[in-house]
Amino acid sequence: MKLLKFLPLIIFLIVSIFLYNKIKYQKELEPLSSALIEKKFPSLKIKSLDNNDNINDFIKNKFVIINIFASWCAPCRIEHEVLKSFSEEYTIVGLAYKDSIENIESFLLELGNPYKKVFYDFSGKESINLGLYGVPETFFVNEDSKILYKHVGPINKMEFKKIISGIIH
Amino acid sequence: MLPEIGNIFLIISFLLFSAQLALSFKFNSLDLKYSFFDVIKRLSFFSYILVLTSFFILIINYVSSDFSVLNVYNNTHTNKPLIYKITGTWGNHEGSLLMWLSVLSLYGLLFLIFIKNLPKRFAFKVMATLALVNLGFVGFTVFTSNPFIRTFPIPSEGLGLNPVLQDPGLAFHPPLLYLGYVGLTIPFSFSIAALLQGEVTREWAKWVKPWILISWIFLTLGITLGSWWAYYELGWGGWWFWDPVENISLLPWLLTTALLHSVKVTEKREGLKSWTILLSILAFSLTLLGTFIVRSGLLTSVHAFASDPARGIFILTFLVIVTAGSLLLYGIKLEKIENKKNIYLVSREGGLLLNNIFLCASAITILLGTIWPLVIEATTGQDISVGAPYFKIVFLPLIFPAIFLSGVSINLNWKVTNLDYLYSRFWKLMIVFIFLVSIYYIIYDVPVLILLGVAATIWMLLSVIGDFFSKLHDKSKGFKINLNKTKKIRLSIYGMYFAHIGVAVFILGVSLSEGMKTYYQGVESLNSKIHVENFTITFFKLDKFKKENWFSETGTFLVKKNDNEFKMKAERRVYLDTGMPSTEAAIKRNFFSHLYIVMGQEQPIGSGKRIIRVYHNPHIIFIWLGAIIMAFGGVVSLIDYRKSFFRKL
Amino acid sequence: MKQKYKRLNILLIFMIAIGSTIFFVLKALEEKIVFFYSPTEILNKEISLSELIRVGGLVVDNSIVFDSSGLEVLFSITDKKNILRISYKGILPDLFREGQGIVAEGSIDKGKKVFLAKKVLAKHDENYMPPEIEKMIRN
Repeated sequence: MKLLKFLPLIIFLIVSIFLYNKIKYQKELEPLSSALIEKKFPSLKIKSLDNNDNINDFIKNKFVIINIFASWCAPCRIEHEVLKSFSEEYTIVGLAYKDSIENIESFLLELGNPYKKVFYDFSGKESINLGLYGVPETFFVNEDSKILYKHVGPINKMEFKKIISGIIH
Repeated sequence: MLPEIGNIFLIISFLLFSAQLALSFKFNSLDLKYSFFDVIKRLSFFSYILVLTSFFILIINYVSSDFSVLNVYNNTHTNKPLIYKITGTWGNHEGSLLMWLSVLSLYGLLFLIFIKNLPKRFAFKVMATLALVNLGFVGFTVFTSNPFIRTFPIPSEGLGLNPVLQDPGLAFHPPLLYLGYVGLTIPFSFSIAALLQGEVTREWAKWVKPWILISWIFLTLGITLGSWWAYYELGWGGWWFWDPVENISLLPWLLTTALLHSVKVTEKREGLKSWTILLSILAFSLTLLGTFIVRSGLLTSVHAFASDPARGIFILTFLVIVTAGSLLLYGIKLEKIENKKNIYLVSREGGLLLNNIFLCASAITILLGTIWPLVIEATTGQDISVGAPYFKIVFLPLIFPAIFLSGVSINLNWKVTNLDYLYSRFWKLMIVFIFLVSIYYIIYDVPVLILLGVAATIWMLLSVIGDFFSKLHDKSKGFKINLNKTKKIRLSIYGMYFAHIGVAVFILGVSLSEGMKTYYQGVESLNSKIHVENFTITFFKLDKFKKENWFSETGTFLVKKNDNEFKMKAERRVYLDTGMPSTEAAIKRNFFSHLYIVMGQEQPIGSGKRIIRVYHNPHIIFIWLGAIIMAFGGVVSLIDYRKSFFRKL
Repeated sequence: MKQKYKRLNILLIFMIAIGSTIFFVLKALEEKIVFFYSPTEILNKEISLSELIRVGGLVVDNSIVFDSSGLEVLFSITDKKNILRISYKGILPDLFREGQGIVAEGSIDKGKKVFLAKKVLAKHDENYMPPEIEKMIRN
């Protein structure tokens, strides 16, 4: 009868221990950032600015970093410096989102060009297939055209290095 | 600058609450001096103002689209209409938490306004409990979910908001619900203070009653709005999906409903004291548990925020400290507050007790079904889900007796045990009841479940009418009814009548719409005709065009019923900024019933054919109407309680 | 004496109410729960034909096919080990697309060739992954 007084407390404590175990297990899982991760890069009707190469043909059998940018996007300008510092080491490809040829050209003239090739999606419709959240966004795609990582928002040098080393391991 | 100010305000309020709590502990045993009480009062007043100001600052950041704040960048967009910029503030984890906190502060301020009516010793303990709860939530916000964190470089455009959330229903659903949830903190604090004092009095019940009622009104409205939103936005044609988060929101409502009834017994008969205290602790703990489950991502739900285990651990720790502490205190003090009085089964308090048991049992079954997947997963490793069939089969048998008992107990007097009285009172009601139910059955010949629902409605209404007439009875004039007596009935009684009528209307809506709804699904090309009930629907026209920030496909349907002809437009949107599609159903309502058309995407592509779904939900409006009548009843009672609010001791 | 009797009465009713509730609830839980399986588990487990179950996985690229009537849609889901074909009659949820994690509820066909879905669930948030599927893919 004495214990009966503490029955609610006892039940509650059992429930909490149980919930604690659940949440502890959950902690071991790292967040997946996109449903597209580990998927094949979707086939897109996206062409390059210079000679209308298709993006899927271009990235075949290469480790590429696809950076979606726009000349009207301010974070992209800051990110641009980061990309330039890695452009020797890696194949970086640009995908201009909702933009115009003149603006892209003046943008690259002003800030320099870190891209091996620039593709465009002026309507923005094809990028939907990439699950685009906003610009900038950066995809890391391996030789089998598999998306290894997707970074949302401007990327900095530390993050860039961390992602690359994470992918290699 | 502004975000830093907001941040600093939050941190200062954290320190102030800590200081208040420490002072309360230290001086609790000493005799209270007026000046010290006043210091504590000012401290908490100041902290509440700081919290409210920081929330206001966050709203300003959202309105001015200050993307240097990470939270703003993540959740809004310059192209959004002003109203959704504002509501975007609480459309995400951090912002909604700050709103939670601000609502808590609003209640705190409201409490401070009415504090002069309470004995100082008691009010002091309530303030200390409130400070503890505030401390937990401010700490949670500042340390795990700070909305004022800056980002660099400053983005020029935000990431936008989920289009599903761009909706007036959703904009106001969380604030209302939070007003309900958070309001339960006050009854909780009153209970803890009463436990600390070691006595639960009838006066106490009077003080706490209005606060319970306020929460209950907001919970009712919040859940109703959420259900309405799901019904017309999600395009699934249903109004309650037994989704874990919906269930979690229903639990405090059921317990608060039980609490409203048991506190009445405490007030009138000094009964059910420990039960009332336990209920208010549990109702509050369940809101914390709900927060925990939603914010930690433990359960799969359409409402899930992006989850973060660190947050889960924090809330769980807080939940354990608060709830375990309260229940421990409850166990220790139980003997002191326990009422030695007997409760007779055949009396109003007896009926209310039984009714309470059924309400709590239904809450337990829902809780069990909601967390059962976690239990099974932990014990067997199997993933399972518990869906609507479970909830329907366990909830209905428990809620019907509760309804029946509620009808019985309004017609009983306090304290009476005489079976002859019961008999004399009920035979007339029973005859009318059976007569009406049979008539209904003979005319409409409906399935058993609808009949049961209609019977429950009739019973509920009759019980209210029966009690009303018995109050009008003039004993001196035999069986005459004296209409002058209507003015003598207290406003709170009318409030109770409305609330019960609301329940009746709600049940009617549920049983009629669930029992008689019809559904059609088929592939239709242009100009094909669909027959549903006595409607003839023609797929008349399809338009494609670009709107502000989405691409729209709008199907126009010509609907004919008898000689009445009208057009309906169902839309499929694809939002340009995120590429996310969204289905906007066409709803045609006459006052009671809804005709609902949903248009799918073209399939196979190029065929010009689309899947069309048509739902006809007769009388469905009663569901929400009933809930609104319930809340209205609550407001009417609250107006009556206002007297005890303002009355000086 | 009389008082004691009444107390006992209340206690008895209380016990019966709680007892029957627990019995009822456990029975309902036993009958009404819906198990969740991955495509691999579907192939390896004994599952009766009439049983209502849920399966989850990622929608396989280029697997979405509409039959000529347009009402029925066929698609495949995968847990990255095995593939399961799913047939569904109705409007797919707004966020249904290739690569997306989805959950389907229904029953399995004879020979475990096709899963006949009564409901297809996808979540509101495109970056949101149902925990069951996330766990499945990681294992």
